[in-house]
Amino acid sequence: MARREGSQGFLAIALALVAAATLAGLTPSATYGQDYPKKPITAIVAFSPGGGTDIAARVILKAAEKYIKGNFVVDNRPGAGGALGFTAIATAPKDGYTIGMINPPTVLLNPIQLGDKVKYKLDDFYPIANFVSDPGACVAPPDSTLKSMQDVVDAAKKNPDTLRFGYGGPGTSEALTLRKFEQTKGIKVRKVPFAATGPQLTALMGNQIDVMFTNASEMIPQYKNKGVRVLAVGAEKRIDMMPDVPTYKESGFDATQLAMRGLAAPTGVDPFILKILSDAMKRTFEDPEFRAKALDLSLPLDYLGPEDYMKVLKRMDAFYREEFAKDPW
Amino acid sequence: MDALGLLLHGFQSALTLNNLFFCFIGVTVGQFIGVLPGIGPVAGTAVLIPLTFGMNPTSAIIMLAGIFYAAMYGGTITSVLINTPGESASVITCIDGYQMARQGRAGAALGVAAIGSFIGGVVAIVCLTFIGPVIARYALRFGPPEFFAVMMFGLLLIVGLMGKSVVKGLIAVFLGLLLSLIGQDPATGAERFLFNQLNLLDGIDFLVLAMGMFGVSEILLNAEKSMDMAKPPKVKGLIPPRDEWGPAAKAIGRGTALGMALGLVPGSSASIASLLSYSLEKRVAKDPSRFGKGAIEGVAGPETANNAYAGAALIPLFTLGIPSSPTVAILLGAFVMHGLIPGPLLYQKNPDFIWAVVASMFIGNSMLLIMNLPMANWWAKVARVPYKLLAPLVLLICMVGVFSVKRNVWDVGLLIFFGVVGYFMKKLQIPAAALLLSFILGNNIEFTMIQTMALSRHGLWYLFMRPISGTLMALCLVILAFSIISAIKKKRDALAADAEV
Repeated sequence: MARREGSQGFLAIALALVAAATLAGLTPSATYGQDYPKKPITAIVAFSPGGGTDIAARVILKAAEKYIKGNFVVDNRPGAGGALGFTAIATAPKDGYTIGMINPPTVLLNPIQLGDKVKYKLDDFYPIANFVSDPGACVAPPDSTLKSMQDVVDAAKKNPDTLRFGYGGPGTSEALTLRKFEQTKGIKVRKVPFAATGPQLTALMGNQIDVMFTNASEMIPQYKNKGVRVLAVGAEKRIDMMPDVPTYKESGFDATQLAMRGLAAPTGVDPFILKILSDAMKRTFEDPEFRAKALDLSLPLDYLGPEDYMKVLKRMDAFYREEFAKDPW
Repeated sequence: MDALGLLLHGFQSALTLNNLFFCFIGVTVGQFIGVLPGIGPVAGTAVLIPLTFGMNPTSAIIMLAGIFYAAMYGGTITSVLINTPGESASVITCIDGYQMARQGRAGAALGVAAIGSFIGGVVAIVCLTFIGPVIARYALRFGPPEFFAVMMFGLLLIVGLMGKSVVKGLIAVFLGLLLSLIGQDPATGAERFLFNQLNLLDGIDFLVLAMGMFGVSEILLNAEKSMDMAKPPKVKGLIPPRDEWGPAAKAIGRGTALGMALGLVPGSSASIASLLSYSLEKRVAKDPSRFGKGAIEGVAGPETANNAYAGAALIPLFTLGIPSSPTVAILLGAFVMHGLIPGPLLYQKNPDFIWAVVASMFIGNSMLLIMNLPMANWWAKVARVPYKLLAPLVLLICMVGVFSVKRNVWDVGLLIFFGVVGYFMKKLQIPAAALLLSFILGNNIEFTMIQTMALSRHGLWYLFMRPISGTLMALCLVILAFSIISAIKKKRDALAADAEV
């Protein structure tokens, strides 16, 4: 008997749920979102726990809970260079309870480079806010004779095909920057690929390579204790964490290279909910506690609201598509 | 600060209640895994990695390393008492250990194994403490050519040392290398063996392969045979009689040296250390005929060697980021998942982490000594947990574990696939450990080879033009020549027992 009663109870709950769902569907959208969020919001991170994106996501979301008046749950979906996780964000239910971290330019490069194997496109995302823009950095050992990017160009011109240049490997945005560097300066270097910053830095310190492209944020601890010499960074203007380091453009190399990290929802979510989310994120970004934590973690902060973020993404997308059409890198 | 100061600093962190707790959990789980036949340290460590995601990296590695070295202790107990090795590094201990137990000397066998394990383990960690930083400084001279040469060296040793036949070893190594090719080519970005599956773009996950080959396949294999354990004899008197102290001490000394030397060699394993130690003891003994009839050296030597191995195997991991055995490769995976890149810079960038882990190993070994000496009887009972309860549990943990890494059902399917493959490999006596190691080395060998080519102006000759890589490459050629000669002469008896993990 007990079992029978149990199943009846279940039926009743199910009916109630159906009724509630129907009612929710009937009410106008403005009231629909009013009590948002009613349950924890899932945030998909397309990379492994403990990685740079994951740590950034957890810090941002922790701080954002205060402003969204709800909880976030991080769901790590690593694999295929982030493509699996980005697909999961793009195809998530459009109820506002699943958002995710996007990493331009990687999120843009996947559909360009992997073609129809990747089942999402830029239009599938509604960018909520950008939080971090990590510029590329050109780095040499501290005792190197290379003191500026011009020195790198001169050295490469003097001895063509000799300078050992470490970078993130083919297909990365670093590879494209390096290609552009060679083309615009009319030089040729030895391109040595590295899978991760750790071994790359080890090789630089051991003078296995002469100079390298990497991300500025990962060089900040070494930069502080003068373990490396940062020749230039790939941002539009100088960054707070390395005020004495010129940009690529100041060094005569007309390029920018940014690895961005921000939040996005799948397109089609109720605008009211998107407004709640983007407002909460804007306030999170201005939160002093969050900013202090970000500084601790060497995260170069850079806020972009939904419209600005989309403009930047569209511009980046067009740039990468054009370059890819010329020649994959 | 010198190594000793840093180590004391490490103790400060390792002795916090939190880290002590995880150290204790780690060694207890390791001891369990060691005692339980059917689940070895590779699967055990792999299965527990997902549980560490929420932990801070130091506690996580303290716990996982604890499992690794504790398994070497636990394996002895069942080998001696019920003639069933709990893990493969204790296979050889069965021969003389069980004979000793039948003669009523089980206590002496377990006592000498625990003491030997402790000495071997601690001496190896002392080396890790003092030699580690030196190697780490020196390791900055290691560029891609040197890494390539070290790993080639390891790969050749795998072929040379593992399994009963060179041909089967080669099959395993080629399969491993083949699997490592799946995914994007590091040099050109070209897609290889994807079968239009985005899930394969990053290649096969090492954890999936390891858990399938060592967790699932082991369960499949054991399901075939009756796993009911004999009732263990009572253990009395853990101190060996006085006249056995001398030979036992010498065997412990030799085992320590041998295990440590092997720990530094990529491509070796704890089983190889204990096997080699046994044959060494037999060779130096005045009366080799005592072996197989309860010679105490036959227990003391191998059991010391596998523990010294476990400590020393962490030296190349910490200083170069090169795993010497499959279990250490799993630890490497755990490092990476926690955002730590093993290598020379680890000593500069994360000294607090390194020294806390090293200190915890001293503590863990002491815990194990206590756990093993007075509590041996209790552990022997653990081995008699009905297999029909254990097997589904392990299978479940494997599946949940693999799923939790990427939240991807694809990986669970792959796990079962490799479980079945591993099952048939074991049936055909193709060493799965060789496959696993060559898989992990394969990726790195290819990558460092490409880097070497990018650096070199003389093609492959560059490898021979640099002193370190040149020496190693020359050694590779020597090993190659030797294994071909010994294969022709069929002189593989010394290692004839199947050296699995």
